[in-house]
Amino acid sequence: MAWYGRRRSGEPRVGARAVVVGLGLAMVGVLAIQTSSTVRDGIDIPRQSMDGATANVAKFSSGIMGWSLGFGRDKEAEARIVELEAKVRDLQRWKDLAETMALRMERYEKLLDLVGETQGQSVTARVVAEERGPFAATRIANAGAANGIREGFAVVNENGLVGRVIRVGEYTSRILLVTDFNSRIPVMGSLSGDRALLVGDSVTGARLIEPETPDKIIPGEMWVTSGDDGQMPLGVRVGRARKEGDEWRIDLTMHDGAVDFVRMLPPPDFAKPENVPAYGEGLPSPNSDNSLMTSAAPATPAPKPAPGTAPAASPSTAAPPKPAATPPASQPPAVTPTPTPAPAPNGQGGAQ
Amino acid sequence: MTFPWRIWVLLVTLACAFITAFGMQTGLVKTWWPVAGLWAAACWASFGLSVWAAGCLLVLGVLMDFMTESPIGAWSLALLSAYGVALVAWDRQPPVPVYVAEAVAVLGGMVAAALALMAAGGIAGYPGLSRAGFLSDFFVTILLYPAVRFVLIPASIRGARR
Repeated sequence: MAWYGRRRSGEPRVGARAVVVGLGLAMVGVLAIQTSSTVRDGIDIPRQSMDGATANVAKFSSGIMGWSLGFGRDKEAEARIVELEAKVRDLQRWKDLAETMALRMERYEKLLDLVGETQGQSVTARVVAEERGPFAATRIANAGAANGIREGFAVVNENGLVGRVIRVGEYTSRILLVTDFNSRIPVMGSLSGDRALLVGDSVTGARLIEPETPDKIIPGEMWVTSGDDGQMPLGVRVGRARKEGDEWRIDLTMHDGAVDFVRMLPPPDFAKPENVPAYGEGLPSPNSDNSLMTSAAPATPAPKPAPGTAPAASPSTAAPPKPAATPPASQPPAVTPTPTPAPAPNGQGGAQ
Repeated sequence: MTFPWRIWVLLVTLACAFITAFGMQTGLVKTWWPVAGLWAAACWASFGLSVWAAGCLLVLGVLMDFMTESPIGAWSLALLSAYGVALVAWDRQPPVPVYVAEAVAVLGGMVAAALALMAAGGIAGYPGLSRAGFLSDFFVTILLYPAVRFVLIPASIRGARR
């Protein structure tokens, strides 16, 4: 048996054992440092390129399977099927759109001041690799940064919400399914209006946690995305509620059909209050003690500003036609009453 | 391990990676798919302790981590754990019949791999582990093992220890 090199002398191979045990311990160390978000972010870069490689291998495998299973199929029938499938997808997209618009219109009628959502351009892609490992439930789609996909895009198929994009390569993107442990999506009941967080369990689907008013939830009720996180569009179908023991579960509509073609939707174009408006020329400045006092509390004496500092101009002081004269830097601000400006219609200029 | 066997082990490693990727194609997500690396871990132990085989298992594990979106090192740790259990089974003194060694190597290796995956998820801070997914895959791995063993274990070993 010497031809495959196995030692038979019986002496213990201490060095080899140490190396193998060392490899195992090194892996434990590698796992331990991944608790750091910095390390995970660093790993994301090779993961991006590996996603592309995995997608290519999976596509190659699909090609082999398709060739072997599709042997002898009529080309005309094949083309017709493809055409009809495309039509169905298109019609389903319009149906989804109509339902979403109806929901929004209903809300608009109830709340006339409801700020609408802007919808960006969506991208339709094909799922080229599916993965169901013990740690994550993800898919890889054949559209990436070159197609305008960015992290955080919502992913839907013709039946409802599929997940969201968590990593983007050049021509591929990885989708975290709503069934994954890490998935957290704010949702609401279409009838009850109750809001909750949809959490995946990687087994049968997803469950609702922390519903605001669980007593109002109706079995079989359709749940949709609430858009409360500013990442998901409002009104995308998620699934139907079902009571299981003490908790509510959602039978996901994405499972009603194959998750092969998906549409990727950009997040609603909401600007975060902390990001805009940017401080600068012609834009509102942050409130200071002085600016607040001159507009909101004219009757009380003002504290003396620090020497050499000028009171900041605020939109509330700039809006009136003739505001109180701005005092010199070395003097306290004026204490004469000034007309209180009307609040800005967009709510800007208040406390930030 | 001689040079030709090292090449053979390397080729099998690549084949195992391809089998894993093959199971990721669309439409197969609900299909129970074998964990090819566990076959390799159980069978390569029949050569005795080999740093080369351990290194190949480690590389295969890292590739599987990337493919399955697992924490880096999780599958490597699982495969090395399975390899360690298989080594104990194959190197038992006095030698046991080959089918006993294989049964212990495969079943014990899977238990070790499952425990290692759970530990890896805990160490890396992953929130949960889908047991149903990999248990069904392990089941298929066991079912297909009798066919694969003829490719991965040298005939001389299968014959010598019967």
